[in-house]
Amino acid sequence: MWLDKLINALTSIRLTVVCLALAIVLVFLGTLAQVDKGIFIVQKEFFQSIIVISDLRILNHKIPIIFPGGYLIGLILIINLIAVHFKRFGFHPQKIGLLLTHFGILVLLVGQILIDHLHIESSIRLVEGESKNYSESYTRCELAFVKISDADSDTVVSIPESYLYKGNVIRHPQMPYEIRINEYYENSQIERLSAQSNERGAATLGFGASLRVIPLPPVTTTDRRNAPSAIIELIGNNAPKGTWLVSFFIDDGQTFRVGNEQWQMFLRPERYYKPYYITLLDFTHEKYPGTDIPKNFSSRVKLTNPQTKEEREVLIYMNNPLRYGGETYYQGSFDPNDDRVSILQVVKNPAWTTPYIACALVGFGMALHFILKLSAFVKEQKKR
Amino acid sequence: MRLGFTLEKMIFLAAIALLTGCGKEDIKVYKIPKESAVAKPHQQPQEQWKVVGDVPQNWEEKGPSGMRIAQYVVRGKDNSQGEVAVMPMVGLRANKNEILAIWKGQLGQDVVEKSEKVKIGEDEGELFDLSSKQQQSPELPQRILVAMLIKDNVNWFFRISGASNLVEQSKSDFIKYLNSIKIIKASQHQTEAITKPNTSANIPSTNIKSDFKTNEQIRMVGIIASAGSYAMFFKITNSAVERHKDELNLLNRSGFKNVAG
Repeated sequence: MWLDKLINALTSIRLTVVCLALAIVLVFLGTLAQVDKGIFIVQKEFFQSIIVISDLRILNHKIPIIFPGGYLIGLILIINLIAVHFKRFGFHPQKIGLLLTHFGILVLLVGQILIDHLHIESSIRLVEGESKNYSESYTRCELAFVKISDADSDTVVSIPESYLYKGNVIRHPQMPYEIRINEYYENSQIERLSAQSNERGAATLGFGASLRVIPLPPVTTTDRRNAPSAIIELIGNNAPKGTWLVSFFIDDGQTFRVGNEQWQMFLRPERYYKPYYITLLDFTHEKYPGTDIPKNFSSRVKLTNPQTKEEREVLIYMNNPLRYGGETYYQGSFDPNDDRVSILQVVKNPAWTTPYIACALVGFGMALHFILKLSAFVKEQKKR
Repeated sequence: MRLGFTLEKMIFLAAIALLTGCGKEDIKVYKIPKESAVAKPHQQPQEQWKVVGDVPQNWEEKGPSGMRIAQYVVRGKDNSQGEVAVMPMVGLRANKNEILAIWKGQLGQDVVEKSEKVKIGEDEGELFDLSSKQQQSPELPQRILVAMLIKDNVNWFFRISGASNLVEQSKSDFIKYLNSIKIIKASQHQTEAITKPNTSANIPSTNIKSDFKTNEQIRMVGIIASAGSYAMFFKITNSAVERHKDELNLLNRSGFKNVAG
């Protein structure tokens, strides 16, 4: 039966060798690709994918690549590892060391997949005296529609950036209208049109009527981020007729009404809201005397949780983060133009222990396997 | 111990399900607490800034109102009264002379204007002394001292006005107050639809590229060397499998099936 043959193939040790070889090639291709595409795009396209459908630029030529992605190779390795154990090695007391070692490798592989999906890194930018209950992604943006007309709270419909491509029509039951993406610029700059200019604005409604969009190539370095813009249209009965410009650069929400409801739209860094507030009380930035070299910087913050009635001050500085609510707040950066601004790096990684557990299991398993083999050998020698 | 053929099939089918289940990100909907409206500077400046300084004892604080984020009533020795006001203005299109003309207009005709540099906190501003030669009605000021400072794209005006004697008596206190000024920004403000991007997102106008040719040559050498080494690796592996076929077959007989594939 074909399924039997497939399972035999999946339990083959040759498959393990092939997967490891493919992984080496994938790392090499990803290393080449990240020169042009940047590390974040390469991570997504090469390592966090089932199939790599991308291109490499060699001698100014784009060479298409189709290759097994990191998730596919990892998944087959996981299946292979489990299947080989059940089918070939079994569960014998003498093989406990081997079992632990392989289990450790399994924890490492599965843990990495979990980290990819659960790990969130973001930042909070605070001016002294400012409070925020959200952090923002370094790289991801969202098209957010916020209903602000309710008295008690605002309702946010957050559309991921992956939905924003030319021609796409986005529908959602919580959205009052459909949204058509007429244009999408992954990275851009916007400029205000002069009053004397005859040039038409990028959009017909809202701020876009007096703005021009300049598309830019996507960034490839880790110290910069893309600033996307999009021209969108709201479709539906009684929808405002015309197009809107939403952009990373437009902080103010653009408002439209739907009956008695008032909505605002933003294209902004993806936000991660928390049930508590962080208030920056004081930011200290010391430099070595006579230089601009940072010596020490620290943020005194107040943590306020209305649900738990918690309110306390915390000092965050280098190597002394705040750990709260499953997240860790590090003293990340500062604004060189404004010494009252502190930027805290927020890391959420529920699976952070998996690499440590995996290494411990592998190390202990190998040691145990060696000891068992050694004692069996010694016993054999004694018998002789 | 074998757990049976069924488990192996389940593992395989689960892998297929997992692969086909990987899909697009979801649109999220959630509720958040009401965010207080971000104040526009020209509407609610007292929510944006706070000004502190050495306030003399005879200045009575009146509290902010409208455009004035700080104001005081100045009591003179002869029971005369003047006022001090601090006003920030964002996006001001009028120039210095146009602004001075407004205050000169309050003093009537024949206004004498003098100016000097003055320290306002850590910055340097300009102090204008405007006095009227004409007799004015008591309700109108006779003399205005106004210090102007442009800081972080905000036009700051510190003004004392009142009767000539009162302003003259208060001039040194006013200058001391200006020297001690500290402007504290209460929150980020947004003056226009276009704001500077978050400084964690510095937007380049062009990507900086290093020497293209050298990079490409190094890349080509790397690709050729790697391709060659992978080819050698597979060749060596295959020949090793061929050489140790008998040993592998021995392993097969002892329970390790299909090791050689």
